[in-house]
Amino acid sequence: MTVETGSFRTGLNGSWGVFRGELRRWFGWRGVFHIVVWSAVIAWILFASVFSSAPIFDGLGFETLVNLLSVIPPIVGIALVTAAVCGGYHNGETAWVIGKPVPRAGQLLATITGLWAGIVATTIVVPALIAYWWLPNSDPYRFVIPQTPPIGRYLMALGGLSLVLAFFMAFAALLSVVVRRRSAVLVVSIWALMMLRIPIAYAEWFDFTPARLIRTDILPGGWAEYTEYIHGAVFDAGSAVWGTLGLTALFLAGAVLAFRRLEL
Amino acid sequence: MTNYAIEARNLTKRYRKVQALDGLSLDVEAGSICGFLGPNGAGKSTTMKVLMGLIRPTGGHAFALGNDVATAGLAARSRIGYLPQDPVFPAQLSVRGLVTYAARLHPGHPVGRTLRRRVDDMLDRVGMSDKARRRVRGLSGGERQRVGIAQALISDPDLVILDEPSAGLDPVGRRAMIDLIADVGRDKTVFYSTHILDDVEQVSDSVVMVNHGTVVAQGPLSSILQATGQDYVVGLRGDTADLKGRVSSQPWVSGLITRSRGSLEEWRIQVSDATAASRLLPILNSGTGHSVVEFHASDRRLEDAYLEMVGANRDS
Repeated sequence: MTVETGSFRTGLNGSWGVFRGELRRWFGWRGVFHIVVWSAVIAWILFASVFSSAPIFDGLGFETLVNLLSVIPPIVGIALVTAAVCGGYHNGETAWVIGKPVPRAGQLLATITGLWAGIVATTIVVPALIAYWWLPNSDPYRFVIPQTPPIGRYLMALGGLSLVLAFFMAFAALLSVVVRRRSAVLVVSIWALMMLRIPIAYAEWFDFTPARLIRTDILPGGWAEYTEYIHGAVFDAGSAVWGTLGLTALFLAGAVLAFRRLEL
Repeated sequence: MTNYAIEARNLTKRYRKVQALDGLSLDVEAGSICGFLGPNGAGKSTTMKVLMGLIRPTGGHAFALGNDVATAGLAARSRIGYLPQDPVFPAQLSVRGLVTYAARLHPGHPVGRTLRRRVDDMLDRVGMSDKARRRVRGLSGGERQRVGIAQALISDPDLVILDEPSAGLDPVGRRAMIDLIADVGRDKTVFYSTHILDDVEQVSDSVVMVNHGTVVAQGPLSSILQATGQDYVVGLRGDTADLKGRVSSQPWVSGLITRSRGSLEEWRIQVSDATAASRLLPILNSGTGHSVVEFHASDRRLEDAYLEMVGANRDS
């Protein structure tokens, strides 16, 4: 038992070190780059959706924001997870870390968690807070001025979108460990993201996936679940949240199991 | 009872059609500097990766510092410093950042000022103090190897495993690496693979030779050299055709290399045991038409032993 305790502490220390190292990367050029680029992209699209008369930007400010935050962060997450897992496997960086007293599960989970935290901060929270400040103060060309949503609901919605991000990162991590080909993982993961956003014929299992949370209903007046929620509607997609959480955990567990068998 | 830092028993590793390790068993004594030799593809890196828990053996067991690497890999790795072949480190880190990061992955690492001081001391030891702020991605091959040594030693491990640390280094870098290994080996067990046999002779006190995934020789360097026999250098003048046939046909002669220098012919005769000298000289002096002008034993070099053991094994 003493050995087990020692090993657990050793493993925890190593995993924490990897997580800390991953997080520190965001406090440099990587963090600045993502904040600047994604804040600018999201602000520009929002700006266009509010002030442009072009039909392509047909939509409301916060609805557009929710849609953007359900697409851009997952794509960034998929790209970075794939680079970390497939890239680290092929260039030997992962082998170097595993050569230290770091358990494989800890290395993988710490890397994904560190990436997730960085992406949430730079591509979800910062652009969303900027939009929260300026969007209600805009003078829209086509629509009414978006109302300032309650901050609590707004932050809860951002949390939900962060869960959607985690789902796609976990999916990409599982594929990365199993397939280990960056281009294939990128294509399949982004395809899955797009498929879940397309409002196809109703299927019951969709209520247990992120699809229920992020796709916009094509029926008149239909918004994405989180858009309705931040504007005061009752949140009735609990099954989708739990389902997404469960699937995320399942993908991560699968990735860890496959990673433990991987030859480095 | 001998205290071993590394023990491997009947290790096998198969990659589809390739048998990388084939019943490899080896022992490395604690406190020794052990050179791990073998041709490309002999199984050196595979063995080291098994010891580091990076790959699973198909069969057999490996122990590092008394820990079974399959079941207590973390405990083993917390006391091992490892430099992989062609190491790739997080490119965005500075030299100091990388060594600090490596230190933090080990349990019980110092923090704050103590950690900074230890990292600075380590960079000083490997001669990288003046490049501490440089990015890892911009380092030359020799500098990267020195940083690799620093990250391997920063946790003050009991066992240091280095996979071809001198590969790709210029003569000055190689010399510095050998000095560093000798320095590290004063208070730690060092197990390193290399193709540069001169380096092994200079710095190692024991050797393990592998070929085709199995150990062909292991033990103290002096024993390895003795076990592979003795060389004699003979200088001859005159007609030596008959003599060459008589010498080569002796069962204890394992090799005969001839070289002409004007009228002088120089032979290097490899014999299987040191007592052969008493039998060799009468044969050399027998017959007519030639005269022996030089006869002495030659220092056996590791290269000769290596070629004899690995070369013979390679053909089998």
